Amino acid sequence: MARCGVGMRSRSAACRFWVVGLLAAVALSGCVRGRDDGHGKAHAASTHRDASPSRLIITGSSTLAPLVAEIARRFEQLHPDVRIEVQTGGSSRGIRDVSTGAADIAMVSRDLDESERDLTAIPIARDGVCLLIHKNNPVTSLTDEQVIGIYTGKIRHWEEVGGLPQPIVVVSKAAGRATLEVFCQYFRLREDQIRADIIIGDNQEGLKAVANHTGAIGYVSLGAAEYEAQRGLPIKLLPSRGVPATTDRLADGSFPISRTLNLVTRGEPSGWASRFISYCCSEHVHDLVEAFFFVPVVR
Amino acid sequence: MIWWKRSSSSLLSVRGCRRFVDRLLGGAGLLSALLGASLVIWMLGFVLVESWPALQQIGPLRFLTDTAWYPTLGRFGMWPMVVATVVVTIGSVVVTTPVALGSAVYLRFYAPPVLAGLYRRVLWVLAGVPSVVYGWWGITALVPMIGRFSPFGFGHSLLAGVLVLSIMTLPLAALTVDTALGAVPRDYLAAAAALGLGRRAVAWQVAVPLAWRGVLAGVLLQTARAIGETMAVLMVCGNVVQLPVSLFAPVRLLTANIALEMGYATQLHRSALFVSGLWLLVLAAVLVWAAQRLERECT
Amino acid sequence: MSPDAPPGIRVAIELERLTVRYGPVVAVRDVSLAIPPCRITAVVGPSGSGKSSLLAAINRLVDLVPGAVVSGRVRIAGQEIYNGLTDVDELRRRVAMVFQRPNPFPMSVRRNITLALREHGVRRRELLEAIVHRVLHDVGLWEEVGGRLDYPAHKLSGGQQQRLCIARAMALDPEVLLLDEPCSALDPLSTAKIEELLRRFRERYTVVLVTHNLAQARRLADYVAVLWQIEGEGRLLEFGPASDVFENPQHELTRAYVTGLTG
Repeated sequence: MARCGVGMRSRSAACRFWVVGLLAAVALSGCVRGRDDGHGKAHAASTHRDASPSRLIITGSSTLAPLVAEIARRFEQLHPDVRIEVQTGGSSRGIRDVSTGAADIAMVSRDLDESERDLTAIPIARDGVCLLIHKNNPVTSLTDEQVIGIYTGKIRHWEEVGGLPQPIVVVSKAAGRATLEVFCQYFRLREDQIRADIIIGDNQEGLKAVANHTGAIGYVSLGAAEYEAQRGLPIKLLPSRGVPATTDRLADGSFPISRTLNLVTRGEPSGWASRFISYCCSEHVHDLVEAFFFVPVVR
Repeated sequence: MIWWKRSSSSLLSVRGCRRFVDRLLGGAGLLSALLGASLVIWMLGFVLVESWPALQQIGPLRFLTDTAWYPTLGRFGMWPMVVATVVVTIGSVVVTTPVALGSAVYLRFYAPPVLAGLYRRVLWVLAGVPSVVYGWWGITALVPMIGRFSPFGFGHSLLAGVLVLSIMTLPLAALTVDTALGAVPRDYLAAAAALGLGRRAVAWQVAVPLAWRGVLAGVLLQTARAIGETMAVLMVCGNVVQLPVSLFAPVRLLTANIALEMGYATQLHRSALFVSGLWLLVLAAVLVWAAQRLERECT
Repeated sequence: MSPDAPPGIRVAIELERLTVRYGPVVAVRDVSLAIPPCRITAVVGPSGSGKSSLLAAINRLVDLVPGAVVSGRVRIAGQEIYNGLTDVDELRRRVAMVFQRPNPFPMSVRRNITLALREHGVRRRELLEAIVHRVLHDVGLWEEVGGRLDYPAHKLSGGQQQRLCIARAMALDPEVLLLDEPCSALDPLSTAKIEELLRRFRERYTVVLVTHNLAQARRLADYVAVLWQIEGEGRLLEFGPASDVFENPQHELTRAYVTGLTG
């Protein structure tokens, strides 16, 4: 009898526990929905723009965002009366936000097209992607057609492109990565045409995967690859269209698999936006640009 | 109801005070229980809210019926990842259970007490090793080793995932199984010994069958925990979204999917990743439910 | 020693200055006893007098207790059991034990009985079945459980479980049956059934029955040993034929105990 009583009691306690928990959850998820609403944030913030301290809203490419955020931090230390807010959402969102006035500056990781002529693009860095293979692989170069063949699964053995008799291990990047975007754009591939054996996230994993397999081919950010190759990682950077993959060639614009990273404003930049963009182009931030494996644009 | 008693004598006022403390503690208990419950449900609500746009615009069915996962191209097939997650989990349970059982039986029935104590401490230390370390070991030692046997020429594979997961699971699984064996009533062990059963028979014929459900429940729970430790699995599995056709084929687990793409995903892609999270929650719930059922039937 | 022991051997179990210590605690000190074969010997005394320790020393189950030390001699059919030559598992097959609380393994009725048999080398299916039938008949469970040998043992009643435990022990064809208060957890009806069993077994086994139920000892025992806790240590007060101990006790404490004044 006593035993039964205990059982009943704990059951009713458990019941109460869940009911109250459920109520709390409903309330909380209501909060989440109300607060977290994508673009609304930028709009809301921009209406306060005139209030002091001054506020800069920067939105756009997730490739550029980490770099710009770092530069912004440094800029804020120099100018304590400015607050800079950096949000991602893709280059297109950046352009849209700048056009509507929701943002002051857009981060755009491509060149502007014809329809966007009312905007001003200022390049702050270049981003290059290079193909790499294992150091012991005797292959020294691949044509663009060969690379396309390999990445679409038509070429499966190194012998077919003048290498050793071993299968090709194709290393590619996960969806959404800027490197993948640049790679696909350059070789005119769609993501779903790529037949990969190993899919990696960041550059380090890609470098490691290629260094571990003599039969591997991969592509990573040029800056990162050059840095690791110089430090002795057994990898080989392949030239593209005869241009060696070095940051010098990237900086002078001759390395083909690359893109320009721009800051974009509506009309000519003015005020704090202008000062920030100038700062981004100055030598004071070259160390940061290089830390993210981009190359600074030299004027 | 009690106040008149409190005033009637000093003894009763002590009792009243105790009752007050009781209530205080009860209240605090209820509060923390509430907090725990609402956190869990808040998290669930959060994942639901975040995945809602994808569920609404893509439709829940397409996550199963789409033939491939190219979220940036509007293809959201998640089924291969669900299958891979289940297969790797089952594989890990199959590998872990006998080893954990063997080591726990050794601890309980064979090892001299001093050695057993030492061994347990080593297991605790191993259990505390961060998953990245196991991942690093996997990528530098295990993956190249598997690569040597693999028909595909590289080691990033389902097998590597299973093995790394098993090794991560083993220490705590062995300790849980040890506890399960320890919970076998002494009565049974005494009865077995009094029947002249040797140590081997007492352990394997009596203790293990009695603790069996507890053993499996322990391994299941530890596996559920380990699969959440994404880093190690991410590093060794190859992350290609495909059905696990071979032990040596690369696969992508749901956890890895989130970790790989979340940082760079926007809009529907991002929302679709939360659907991966939803799937994971479902799988984890199934595992925990199975473990609890086993444990309940065990007692 | 076997049930039909040669008439020359009058002593089944011989304890000589048996002392059992658990670390600093002395459970039993200097007990010397000669337990005769094919009789029921009851060990009685108040709790804490070392009855169970004495019993556990006879099949060396005391070995399982960490820190337990046994000194003195225990001989079964003339063979010393506390030396390196003794095969403990074989000893426990010959000296079976039934515990205070029924403890059948949570398996089927059949498997409860065959588990130990298999471990002791009985593999033939027909033989195993035959033994299961025989021992279940012997304890009167066959009729009650009937054909349901796959019935889970823990779903039997307490009394049935205890009889299954006895059957499980008997399956190994032991020579000595040690029972540690086998009825203390049972109702009177089940107790009566077990006592009936023991009366029938008297001819076949040397039975040592620990009990604190004096009435039960009177009903069953041929010989009685009275243990007492003196200065924190279990001592033997008196040993002899049941009639002597109950009708004409030699010791003051025994007299008070058996007449229900103390204990």
